[in-house]
Amino acid sequence: MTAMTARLRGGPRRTVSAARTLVRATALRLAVLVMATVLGASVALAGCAGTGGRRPAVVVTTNILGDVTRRVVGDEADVTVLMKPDADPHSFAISAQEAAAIERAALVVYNGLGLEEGVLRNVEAAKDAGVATLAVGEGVDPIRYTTDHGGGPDGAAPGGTGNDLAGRPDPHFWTDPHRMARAVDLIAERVVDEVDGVDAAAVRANAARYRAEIEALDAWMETRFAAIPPARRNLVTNHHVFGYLAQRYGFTVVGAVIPSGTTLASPSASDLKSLADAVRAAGVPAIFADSSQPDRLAQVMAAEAGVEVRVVSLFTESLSTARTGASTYVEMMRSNTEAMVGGLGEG
Amino acid sequence: MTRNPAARAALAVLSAATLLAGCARTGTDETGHEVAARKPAALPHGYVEGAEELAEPHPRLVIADGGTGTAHLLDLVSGDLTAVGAAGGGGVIGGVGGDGRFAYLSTRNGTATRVIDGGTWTVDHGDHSHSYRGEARDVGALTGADPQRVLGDVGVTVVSFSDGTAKVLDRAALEKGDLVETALIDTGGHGTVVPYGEHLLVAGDGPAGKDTGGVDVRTRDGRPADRIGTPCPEPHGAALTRRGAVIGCADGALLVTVKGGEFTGEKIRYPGKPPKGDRALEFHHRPGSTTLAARAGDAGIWVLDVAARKWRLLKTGPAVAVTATGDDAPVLSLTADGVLHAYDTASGDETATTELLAAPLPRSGAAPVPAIQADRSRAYVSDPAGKAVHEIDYNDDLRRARTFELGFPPAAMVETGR
Repeated sequence: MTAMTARLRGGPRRTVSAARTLVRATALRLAVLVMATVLGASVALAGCAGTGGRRPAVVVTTNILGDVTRRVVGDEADVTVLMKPDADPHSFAISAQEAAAIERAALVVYNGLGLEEGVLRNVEAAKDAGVATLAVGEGVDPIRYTTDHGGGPDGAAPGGTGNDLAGRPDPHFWTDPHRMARAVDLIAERVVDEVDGVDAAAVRANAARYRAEIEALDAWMETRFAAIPPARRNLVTNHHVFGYLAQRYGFTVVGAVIPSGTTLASPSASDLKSLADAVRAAGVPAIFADSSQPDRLAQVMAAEAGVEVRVVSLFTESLSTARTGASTYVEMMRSNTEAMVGGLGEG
Repeated sequence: MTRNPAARAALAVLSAATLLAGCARTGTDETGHEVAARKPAALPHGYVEGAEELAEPHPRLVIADGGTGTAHLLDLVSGDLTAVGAAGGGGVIGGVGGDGRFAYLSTRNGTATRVIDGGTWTVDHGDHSHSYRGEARDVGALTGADPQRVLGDVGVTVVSFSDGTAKVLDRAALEKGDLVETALIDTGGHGTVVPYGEHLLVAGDGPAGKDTGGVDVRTRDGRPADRIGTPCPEPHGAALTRRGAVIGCADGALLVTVKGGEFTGEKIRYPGKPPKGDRALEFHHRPGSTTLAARAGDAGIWVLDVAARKWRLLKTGPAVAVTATGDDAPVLSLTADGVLHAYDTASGDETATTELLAAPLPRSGAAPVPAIQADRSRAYVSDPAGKAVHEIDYNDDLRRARTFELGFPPAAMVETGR
């Protein structure tokens, strides 16, 4: 296992490309000489002594918490993030190597509250094996799903029929930066307690610096949202993650069925009724939805339902390298804030 | 590159280096091999490698060409039609069913089931769902004569055959493109096997022809785990709903639910005593709907409201194909005259009709039979004589939203990705 990790990190794979370049340009003897040197290096890298390679001290499940944890830990320890950018926190799965990394970690940081279904088993196995774990969501006073607010996160669900979720905690706490600031402290304290060899003062200083950044984000969001008239603070959406943001900044989440691509090919009034009713009742000029054809949706709403509405997409559950604007947690929150203000604000 | 002797020598040295790098293997051989076979760890490996997450479900129809036996994929968003899979004797002719992502079609020679990956699928997370797109492909053929029914959950898909056997396929392997049979179940006759609650429900005569009273609960690899005592005489047909698994029995439907690992059976008896020929044999519904529809012999349509534990017989006369579209949505029925009908499930009233098919169905049994499939907003009806598929807005008086001209008679049609 140790050898394997070292190999992947860099021994032979790096050697292959180096060798190919060299071989083309040099004589046989020279090549062999160079190869022997490289081989020596690769053997050393491969850790044939049996224990080579730094163990990943902190393993984080989601990429949002990964960004936060990296800021807290800084250079004090290795941080491995399991969920790749643009993946889905509910269902991403991990490789055998990563499962092994979890079991050798000093600390596993995860969202919890039922979010990471794909790796929960691995996290629990590690916990049973004595690895320290931190379910961040459990420590930030989670809110619970309700059924009685006019089709909130539940009603908005395209695939759900309702209601086994009522009363269960909502795992998407990161849409509230105030809670994320608390998460920073929770992570810092556990890192100090569980990860050998870290400089506690340095970790706490990192955390304080980053918490200040998040508090500034919170204040900035509050100021930006003030540009939206209170009567328009309605998020008509098919997303299920904005319950926390809504609670923090005084928005109402209005669930709606967003007509699908097949429906939009040849829509009728009944296809658009749920959304048109929601938009009219909410009195908003924009909706926040993922749609495969946002422009077509807007056209159809105007033509068939007489509702002029912009269709705006938001970042929800994952940092992104595929789309710009969400390479870090703070950047993602800023992008969403500007998108909401742009959609709902005046002028 | 390898024509260069220096390169050859260097590569030889490299192989040695690779071998040496494994010298301190503290893990197992198994892990070592896995690493060798994998792509580098730096590549993203989300839920399924190479899959792209979509903003919404992306439904497709897998359709068999009744002439050539070629399977086609009709993309319901773009309208594109593409061929996928083999033609000829190994080609496809009949529809068996689907498990959300894969369509199962019986082959023309009747000895196998061809499995087509529709390439789009939706994962339900209760409060929301995620949809993906990968590559559509012909996964291969599963041997076994006369396939009857397909039912799948997240772990396995079960294909049942007319001789009472059922093959259990590993879903994770299917997603990688491999047909891996994890169990072969013999119900001893006209039995029914249903994947449910991370187990298999096996209703039938049993391998020894005894103990016909209840339903066996087995592990996914076929080992006995539990038993449900409620009898289900002459089991035939089954469906999976959010409120439990439903198995058709001579005297009604057996609803099986699981709570905390405990399986419970509850009989929903037919009202009165319907003649034997009128019992429900196969259930049809939009996936997720807890209202089911079944043909009731020549009498009409059975509607089973699973939530209310109640049957209703719609005395419509014989139907060619039926399906339920949802809990507060109509039951659809196609009659031999080519007319599609909508019925209100609460009152039993006919609410709309539309003349749909190009021609009435021929009386001889050789011609392909039309199929109905439904998703959350539309239903699709295949029209062999018209060489087309009709898209129906069932919430708008059976309005014909689109008609897809295929250029061949559709012999089978299974919706995936919904």
